[in-house]
Amino acid sequence: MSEEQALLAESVARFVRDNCTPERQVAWRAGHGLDAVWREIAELGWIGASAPEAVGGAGGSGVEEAAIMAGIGRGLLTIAYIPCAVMAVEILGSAPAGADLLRQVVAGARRLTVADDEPGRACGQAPSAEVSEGGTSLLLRACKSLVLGLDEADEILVSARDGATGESLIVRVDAHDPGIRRRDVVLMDERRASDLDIRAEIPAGTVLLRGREADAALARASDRAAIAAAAEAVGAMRGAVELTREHLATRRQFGASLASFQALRHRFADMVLDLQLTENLVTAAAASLDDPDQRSTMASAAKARAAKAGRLVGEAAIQLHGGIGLTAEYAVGQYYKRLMVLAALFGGSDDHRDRVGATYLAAGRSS
Amino acid sequence: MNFGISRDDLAFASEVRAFIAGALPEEIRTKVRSELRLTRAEMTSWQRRLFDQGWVAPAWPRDHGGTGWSLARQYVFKRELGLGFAPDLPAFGLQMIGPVLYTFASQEQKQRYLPGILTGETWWCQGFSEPNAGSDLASLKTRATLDGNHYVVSGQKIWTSLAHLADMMFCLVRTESTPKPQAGLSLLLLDMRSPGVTVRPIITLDGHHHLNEVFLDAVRVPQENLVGEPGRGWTYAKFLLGHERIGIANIPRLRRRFAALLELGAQPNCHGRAALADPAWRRRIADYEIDLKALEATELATLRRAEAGAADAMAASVLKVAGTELLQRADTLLWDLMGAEAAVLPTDAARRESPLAAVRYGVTPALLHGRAASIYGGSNEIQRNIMAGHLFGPAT
Repeated sequence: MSEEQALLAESVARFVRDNCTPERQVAWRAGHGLDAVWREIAELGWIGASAPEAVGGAGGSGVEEAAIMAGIGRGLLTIAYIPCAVMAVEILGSAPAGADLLRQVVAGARRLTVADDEPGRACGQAPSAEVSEGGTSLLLRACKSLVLGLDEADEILVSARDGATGESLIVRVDAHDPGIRRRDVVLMDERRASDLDIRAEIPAGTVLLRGREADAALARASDRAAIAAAAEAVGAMRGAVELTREHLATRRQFGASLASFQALRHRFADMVLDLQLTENLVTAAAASLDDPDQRSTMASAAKARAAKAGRLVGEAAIQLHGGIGLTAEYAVGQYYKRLMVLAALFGGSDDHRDRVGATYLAAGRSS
Repeated sequence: MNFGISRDDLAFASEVRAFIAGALPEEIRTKVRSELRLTRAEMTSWQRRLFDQGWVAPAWPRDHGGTGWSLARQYVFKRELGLGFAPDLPAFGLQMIGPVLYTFASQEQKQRYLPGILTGETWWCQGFSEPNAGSDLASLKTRATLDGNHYVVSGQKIWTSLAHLADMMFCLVRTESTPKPQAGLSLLLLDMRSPGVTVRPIITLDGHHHLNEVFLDAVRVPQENLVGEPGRGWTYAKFLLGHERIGIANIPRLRRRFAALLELGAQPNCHGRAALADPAWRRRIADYEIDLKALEATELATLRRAEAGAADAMAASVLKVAGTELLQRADTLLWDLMGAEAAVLPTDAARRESPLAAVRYGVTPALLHGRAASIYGGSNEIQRNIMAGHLFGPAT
């Protein structure tokens, strides 16, 4: 880790220690105080950590982003960080017309979210959202599912295709456009998400990317999001492991510390083992972000492993806590719920394993 | 995965590949690829090639015939050997007693034993476990009593790999009765040809003879064969078992298993279909590959921490547990992939029929042999005890 990376990791840890109190976490889950969090983390340079220096970023790599994400998981922050600071930053960075908006996002002056998933669309399939000519402007018709952080966002980046040519598109839509109908849902970890039904007129200049460039940018943004979600899961696992260690060391039953019972010691050792293996894989995946040969496989490997380990560690943490682990209020259950949400979003474990295994048959035949 | 490995070390890796291509006989390569056992002569001839190249003891200091390489360079070297199907040399001399000797032994002992360890002329075995001292090693009972300038050693060792081929045994014995059992142990270097040494084979699940019982009946060992100080045998034994972290997970072996999964998975099964055409099979294998990548990343992270001089007390246990459990998972996957044919215990002749037969018929013996992995070298339960000891302090 370089000196800058160490400083950033330290600032993230300090932010989590000073700000992510249980009371704050309750308020955030109810949607209160999120603006203040966004302002503060923009000032700390988080959003720009991995953005180019030309738009006010620090020019860092995926390793910085992973350190930030681990802090978000550890501190149970509820902001929709990945769609804005990871995916939108990646997409805008690939779009010639995106530089101004990117500068505002990095500075914390404007917030975005991304609407890509559609109900019933399989992983890797083209979106059915469609943009067609509508006189002087364009008409966007889209059904998008589980869009994160709509209330925090000024704009939405929507994936679609050109109704005439079939080309992929990424377009900007105002988050308050009257043509957006929303149905809100609450996620397991009490974050908000929205299913959108969009019929909006958008100006021609809002098409950010088109064709192969749109596909490539979205693919990179999705890989980066998968690694970020895996890194967030590592932070949440670490939180669950620390709480469990503390509990086993202090709680006494049968006249002895729980940490003296071998069955519990071994289960805890397995939690730590799983955490270490996952953390090291996620770090390696983050470091491979700029390597086009490795990026996709490593992102999927990291995401699938974080999903599996997150579930095992979260389940073990609750089990080792006993009754207190079942309460809504206590943090160990919050970590478990965050881990489950992270396992489900940004590509499920089967999708990512399919990507890792996609080339096996050809590789086996040629060996 | 090359995360954190320097360009120089990667260039060195191609040098190693070129060396292996020129120096490793095809017959040995094929045997390793098929998981067939090598003869002592084959092992020694390969060790001699490495010795002549100056590469036989990557982890040893240069003064004692080692390379003086950084940990990263040792890592790269071992990886290339493994991926190039070079055989693993027996660990007892080069990785276990050798480092104990150059660290703790007398000048005379170093001069007498280190050269034979480096060239492979002397083979060693490890006399630690006993019938009533397995995981609880410190309770061992083999006794050594001083009689003039000899120790007289009596007792029984068991699970002794290679004892039937070894020239020497490093033997943990009780020289004193002390309240704390560890304190009364000493380490002796015992000539396997001494009168009173009897070796009996133990045939393992795979039908082979790797293991032995060794009976020691009033064996006379010269006092000068005591390593270091009497009563410090436990310290030397712990040093010997925890000395080497690089390679403990044997990742090249796990990579070879992955290659075998793809090779066998592409063959038509009894329904005329390749298993890899089935998405469920691809997912199972992807799960294995993902965990293998995580283990590789963990070994590299361990390496970086060790190079930075950071203490990492749990690392050896983490790598041992994860590496052996993954090996057993690979063997189970391969076994499942074989269908009904997996039930056949193949002959060595069947394994020599073709390269594909070598992979196919290596699966069932490997499955049986691989059950040892979570037991030897400190069972995985003992490793979890060690991990928990670091996380919570000792169990009460």
